[in-house]
Amino acid sequence: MATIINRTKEMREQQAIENGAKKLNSPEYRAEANRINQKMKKVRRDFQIKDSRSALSASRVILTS
Amino acid sequence: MQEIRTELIPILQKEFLVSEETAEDMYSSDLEPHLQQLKNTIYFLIEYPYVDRIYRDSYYHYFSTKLGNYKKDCIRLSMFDGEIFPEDFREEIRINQVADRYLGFMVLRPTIPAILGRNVIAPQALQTNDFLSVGSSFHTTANAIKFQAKGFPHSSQDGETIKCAETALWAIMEYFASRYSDYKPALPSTIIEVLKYISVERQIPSKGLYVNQLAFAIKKFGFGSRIYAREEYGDDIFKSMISTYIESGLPLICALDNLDAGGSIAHAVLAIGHQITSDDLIDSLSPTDEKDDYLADLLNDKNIQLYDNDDIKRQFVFMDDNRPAYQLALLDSPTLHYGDPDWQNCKLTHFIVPLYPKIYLEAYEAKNYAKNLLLNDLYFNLPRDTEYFMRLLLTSSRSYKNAIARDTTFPVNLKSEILEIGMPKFIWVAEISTKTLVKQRQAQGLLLLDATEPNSQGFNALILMAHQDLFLYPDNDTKELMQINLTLSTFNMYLNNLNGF
Repeated sequence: MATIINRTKEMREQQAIENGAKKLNSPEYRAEANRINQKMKKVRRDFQIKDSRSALSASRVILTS
Repeated sequence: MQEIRTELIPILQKEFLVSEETAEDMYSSDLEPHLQQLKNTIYFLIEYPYVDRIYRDSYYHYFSTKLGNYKKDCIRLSMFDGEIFPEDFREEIRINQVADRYLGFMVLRPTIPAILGRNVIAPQALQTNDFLSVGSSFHTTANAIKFQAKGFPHSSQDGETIKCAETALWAIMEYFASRYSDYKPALPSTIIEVLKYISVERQIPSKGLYVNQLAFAIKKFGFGSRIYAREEYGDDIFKSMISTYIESGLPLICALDNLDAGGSIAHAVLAIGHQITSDDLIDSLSPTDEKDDYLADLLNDKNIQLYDNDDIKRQFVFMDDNRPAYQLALLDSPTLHYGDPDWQNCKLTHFIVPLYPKIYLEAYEAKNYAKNLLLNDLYFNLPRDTEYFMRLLLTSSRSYKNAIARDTTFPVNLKSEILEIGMPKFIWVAEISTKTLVKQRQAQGLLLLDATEPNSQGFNALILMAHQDLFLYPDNDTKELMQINLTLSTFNMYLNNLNGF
């Protein structure tokens, strides 16, 4: 005798149907997703500049105390 | 305390070949401050000669190459809560009892005057221990019996083979090696070996290390090391990121100096935890000063007060090789506990995060992304004139799913949905709560982000977001946003990283 718990992709899809899954893909949602993505690109760019300067300043002082 | 002094000074004289005056000076200046922070109920077991692998490494690579007569053996002090007797270590029942009272050890090495070597002290051995910190278990022995020391590794610098920077590197690797099989401890000679190709001068006697050398060594030891500088990110974001990573259970190497104040101190310490979050700390928290114009407008338009856990003015736990283990200090004054005014005006300048190499989405980006989703009217649609408390942390999906599976506050169908979602090895967890709920260690909303995905295109980095009757997640294949009918009520905050909040 054995207990088999089979976690499959199909099982997950079935679970989603049972939970009333629906796609939110109207133009409104797609536009908002695009806006957030553009925003995050800007955040990342800003982050990378700060990041490169952080690395540069890391060789200024020797930690010796 | 007088008793340990009386016992130890003759042993220091005999084992380290020093005069009584020198032994007394060493005890008073280097050892006593560490012993004074311990509870009065601590009893010591003194063993010598003791072979310490860290000091032996320094001895064979450096001290033995000198003319001077350097001793190669150490003294070990094991600590127990309550009185101990010789029979406690020879009878099975009593051994089990004494194991429960074992609170760590200290090694004294013959590096005059900085004699305090490797030590692991359980926070329970301290008079004041109302803090949370990362720690691990270390296999050790005392009087021939195996014990487990639980705490975070600490040592003072010997001033020649290890300075503050090398000591911080050693301690962080000692911690990771004891917790995860992916990493190995770093002896002083290993650190020298790793850095020899990027060091333009001789490495011993040590002059210390630059921040970028520390980050390089961390990278060579198997991490995806990252450096953050205070002057680049500004005070608020810099301190906020330290708080996020500490909440994530990651020990950080912090660089500090007093050069701006005209001083000449530059130092490395470890940050390993924070004080327990009291109701007073939560009550005194002000709404976050949102730096992002778009997010600030969203908050203003709907009159939403957003409180950020990382803004709490709490003390953090530092491991400083010049001071006793587990020092509490604010990020603005990390060395206020020093008696010397020159030291007290040191400021944090950089910190290094030993990230798992495949974590690509960092704290700064993850928080911004989470806020963009949280404050968006299409998704969460938070009501006007409300207040929320947000807490962001990094954790492994294994630990997170394990905690969710065992948590009784999640509805069964919602728990099942979360547990079935495929997740990367590490995830960012943003818990949405209120000040009132946080005091009860509860939350009401959840955002999970993929820490391996820096690209936010089409919800790539989103795993799920849930708040009240909203449960959204991106379709596994198309990454289109999906909604299902599940309701999330209040649930327990995730406290595994620091075993508390």
